[in-house]
Amino acid sequence: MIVGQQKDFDEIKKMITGYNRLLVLGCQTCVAISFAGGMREVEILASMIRMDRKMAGQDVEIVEEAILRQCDFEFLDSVKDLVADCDVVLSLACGVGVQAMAERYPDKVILPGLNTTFMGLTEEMGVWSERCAGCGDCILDRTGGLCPIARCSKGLLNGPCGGSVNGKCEISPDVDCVWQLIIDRLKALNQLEKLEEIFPVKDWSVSGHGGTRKIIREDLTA
Amino acid sequence: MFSKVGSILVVGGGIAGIQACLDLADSGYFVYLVEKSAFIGGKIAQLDKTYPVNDCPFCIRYNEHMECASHTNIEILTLSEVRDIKGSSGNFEVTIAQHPGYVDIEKCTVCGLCAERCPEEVNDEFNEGLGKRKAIYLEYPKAVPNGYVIDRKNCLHFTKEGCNICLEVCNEKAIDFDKNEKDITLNVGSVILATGFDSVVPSYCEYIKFPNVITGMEFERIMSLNGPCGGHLIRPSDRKEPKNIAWLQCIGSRDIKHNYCSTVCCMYAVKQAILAKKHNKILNTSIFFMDMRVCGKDYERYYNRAKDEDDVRFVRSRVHNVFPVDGTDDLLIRYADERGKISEEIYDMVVLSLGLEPSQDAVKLARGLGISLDKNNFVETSSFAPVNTSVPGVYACGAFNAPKDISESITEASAAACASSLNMAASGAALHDPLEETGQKPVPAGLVVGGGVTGMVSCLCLADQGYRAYLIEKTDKLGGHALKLRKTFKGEDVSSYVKELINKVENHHLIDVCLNSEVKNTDGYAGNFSTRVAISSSTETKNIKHGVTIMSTGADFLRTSEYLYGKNPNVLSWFQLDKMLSEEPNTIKNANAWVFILCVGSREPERPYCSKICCSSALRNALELKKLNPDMEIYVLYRDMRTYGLIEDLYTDARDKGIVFIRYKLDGKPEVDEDQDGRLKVRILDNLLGEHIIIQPDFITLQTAIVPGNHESLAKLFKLPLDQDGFFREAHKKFKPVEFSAKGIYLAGLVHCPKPIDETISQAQAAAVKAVTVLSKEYIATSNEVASIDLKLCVACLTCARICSYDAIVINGMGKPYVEPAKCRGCGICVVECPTKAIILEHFKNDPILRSVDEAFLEPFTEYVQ
Amino acid sequence: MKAKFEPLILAFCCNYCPSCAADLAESAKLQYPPNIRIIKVPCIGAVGTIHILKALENGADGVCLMGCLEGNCEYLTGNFRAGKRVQYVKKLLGKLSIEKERLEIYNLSAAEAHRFCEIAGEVTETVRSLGPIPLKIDNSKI
Repeated sequence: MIVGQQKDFDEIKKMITGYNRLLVLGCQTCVAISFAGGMREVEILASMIRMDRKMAGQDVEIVEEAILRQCDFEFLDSVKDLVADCDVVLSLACGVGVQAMAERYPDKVILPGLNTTFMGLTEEMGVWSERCAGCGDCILDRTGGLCPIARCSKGLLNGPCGGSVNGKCEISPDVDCVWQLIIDRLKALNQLEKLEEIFPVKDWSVSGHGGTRKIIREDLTA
Repeated sequence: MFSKVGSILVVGGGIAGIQACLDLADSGYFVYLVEKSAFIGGKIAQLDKTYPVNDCPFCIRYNEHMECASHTNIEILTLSEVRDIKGSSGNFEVTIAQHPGYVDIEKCTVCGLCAERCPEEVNDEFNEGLGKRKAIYLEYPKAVPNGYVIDRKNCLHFTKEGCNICLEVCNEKAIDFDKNEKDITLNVGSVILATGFDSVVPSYCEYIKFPNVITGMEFERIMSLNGPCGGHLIRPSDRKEPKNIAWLQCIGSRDIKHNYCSTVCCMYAVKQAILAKKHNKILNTSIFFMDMRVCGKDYERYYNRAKDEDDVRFVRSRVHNVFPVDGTDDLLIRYADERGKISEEIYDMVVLSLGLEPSQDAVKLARGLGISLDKNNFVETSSFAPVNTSVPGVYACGAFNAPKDISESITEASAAACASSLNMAASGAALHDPLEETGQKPVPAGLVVGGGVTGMVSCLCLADQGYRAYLIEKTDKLGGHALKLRKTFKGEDVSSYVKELINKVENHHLIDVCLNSEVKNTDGYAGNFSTRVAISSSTETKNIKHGVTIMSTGADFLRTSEYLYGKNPNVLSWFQLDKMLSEEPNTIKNANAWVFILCVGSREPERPYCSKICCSSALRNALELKKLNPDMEIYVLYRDMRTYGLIEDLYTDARDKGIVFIRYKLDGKPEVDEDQDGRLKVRILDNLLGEHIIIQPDFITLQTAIVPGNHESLAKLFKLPLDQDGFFREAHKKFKPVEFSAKGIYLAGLVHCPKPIDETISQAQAAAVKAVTVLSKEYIATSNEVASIDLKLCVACLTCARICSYDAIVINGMGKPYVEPAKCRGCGICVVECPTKAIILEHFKNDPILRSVDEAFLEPFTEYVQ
Repeated sequence: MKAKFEPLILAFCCNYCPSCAADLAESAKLQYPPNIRIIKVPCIGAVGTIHILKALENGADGVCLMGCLEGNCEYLTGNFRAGKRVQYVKKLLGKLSIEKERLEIYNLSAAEAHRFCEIAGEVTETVRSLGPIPLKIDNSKI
């Protein structure tokens, strides 16, 4: 899932300066799960903005709403009237949702309330971590199901590097060296020989370095 | 008035009576609660706080009082007295006289206008006469039943004729002076006596007339927030704050006329001293006592805290007199310390820890029924049937059986409810209609873990009421540690009782005994549990469906290496001596001297609790040795002689028979040596002489501590909490001794804390009746206060499932969360955490918290606007 | 003439111990500042971030939460969660430049009626010394 994090309040404040009728629009899927953009956070952020404006002696009118997914045009239509009535939409969706809104409502200013941080999972209540970089060419079959591209600080394909100390990455003792984990896991699976093969240079063209990616399935298109 | 088949009469509306009523009513019986006074609740409402938790007892029990008043299976008859009980078990005819209160409770709105205008002021019994009330009164603001009553004795309408003020001011026209006493006849199957206690004021205690000598209960009222002093600690004579207070223990206990220990006074004096210190930090508090008898769960810790942290002074001395100090309201205490040195001290205030005796009305009633009472008028009971009186169908619980504290009274009340419902089941009584509920039926079976006496008693209670019981025992035989015991403190034969019990359990068609078995995992909720049990002899596991679980895995004894135990064969544990006394008394008969050492491993820094049964077991065995050989010199080395309650008899007897008692302190433990031939030598400081003495005994018996069993894995499996000593932690130390905070799981016996067999059995019965309250329901009780999830908004983020303390939310086959209503407790924590705001509490729709937040500011704060 | 500032404080009280303490204080006629408005909640863990913010937004000068003693939560973890939540909301208040001292959480037992009054006094004094919440100041200017 996509994990997001709400932008610093000061940044949001600056962004919305001068707008007096706001639609704070949440997204109830990925970023709700990471407690950044669901209805719960919409209410909290709206309340903070109102208080802030009140202290500054400025008027503000905020409509609070959330929709199931901001990344599908069909869902965006349900807020058509709300969008029309506001000066600006503060979207608490990931970057995809914000852009979908901007595309659907070309005349409206759509502002991002979140930073779209990574693709990852909930480790435990309140803790999320990155797992996938969306490189377009999955190699998890060869690395024991642990991704060095997303989880090695250098993105090394033939690790570990000399910075791996006691199973930790040199950037911080809190960060596991994923190559250590890969070796441990392959050892446990009795597949250590997989590492004897050197990874050739990876094709990064499919990872976005070759331009915006697009998938077309002829059998499904209209 | 109507009567019902299947009804039970409970006499006494104190804490025990209320508990018995609720347990029976929840099991489906109809109960009449007869209370002499105008309000239920008894003495606990008068208490400021309870030990060892320092909670306000009334605040915590208020819900139970309300429940008792509103339960459809309970009829409360206040201002009522039992005149006569005829008939026999299964069919008693009870005559009750109900006095009028002259106020219609249905109409009374408790506005208080009547009492405000009432011209007649009298002493307030609720405040022990320290305050005043009117002749029309409510005992205290939240008294149940919640309505005013007129006290005929003092009402001017009756005493001087003609006063009608209250009648005139009452807007609701609730007052009717023409009401008369009425006689009520009831037919009931069983009777429970829960009549409580009266305080003993012994004749020698003339100094009680000095204004600043007060009783323990008066002290409670003085400290109480709703008491006559508004919670300010002041002394009665001049309403000044006292600077030093003395507590005198054993007033009316442990004397010639009342040769028993009142059990509760040590703890309440310690509590009062601790709380008094909270009122006034620089207050000096001294407790004059003989033995500090603090044997319940966590009591020793409380006592240690008083000594070490709160700086309460403990003086080991029995004070015989209190003198007034001329020209002041102060009091002089003259006392002799252990060595006989006389000292004098002056106190601002003296609190008497008065003993407990059975209430006089109850004694009269019991005599009329032909119930055997002991020499002190307590009900004679057997250790193996602790709530059964000598009359079939009549049960007794609480302080009428022996002096006891709140938690034990509550336990016994539940035990009496259990025993009387067994009696009702045996006589084929029909249950009252169950309350209207809907849903799933509970599985009519109980799982009992641990096959000792506790487990077996619980199983029989369930099975005799028609429920299947699965008894899981990890060893290859039933009986547990009781198999090692010989006799109870009353001298009853334990082994034959245990044999009979095993026989009954093994032959009961509703009891499945699983020996060599262990619980592997368990899941579910009250009414519907599923547990997998592994049997060590086979590789297969057994899956058991049950509605309730009772934990009765017992405890263990300490394997000590102190005092040459395990090195010298003549140093015995208490159960080795038990065995020798029954199997080979001749080998020990000719011993010249014998030493008993108490508190081996108990009451030490690493085990700061009392094992409770050691004093009585040592004394009983010592007396038995003395019987075998009257010339044998017997020495009991002890720290405090804790022969609480009726066990005091043993102590008196032992001293009469010439057994020598030598007290030692933790820092002056006895030293045990042996010479080359293995002859034992004990060296100990005699506190009376102030010198070391040497004893050369043939044998030494060690009263080793009871230690918790290895419960950690079991606790984890059943998600149950352990306390700091490793025993299971019950839901509330005082008021819920056999329950866990999780519903449908109960505990009994030594898993809870060390205790003798009679208390173990009453806990086993209490746990069983709690279990029956779940099993007897037509449908599994769910509250309407449960979370409900709007699946349209839910994105299955799992937050609720992760955060729920009760595992009440699970993800179903559709990938969506599902709230198990029987597990949900309605706390609302998931509601505020849900990121999509998909959860509501059924009774809490539209976020009433938010609504109250909004409404809180609707009313303008006019008082601040100038 | 400007009136002496009397803060308005919203107290969320868990329905278990703290509400008992509050009732006890009331039945014993103990004095505590009239500035406190009590909202009883099923568990202090049921008070969300939004409830605290709304209270301030709606005009409270301070908010206090009262839960049961540590380890005594009827629902096991409610008071613990509330404690963490209060710390989080204090951070949010920091972003708004609202004094964090306007929000506090306390744990007390059912018997502690005096403690309840003490807390009420303490909170009132703290908030009184901070003055009206900045949200209000601007309103009064207008």
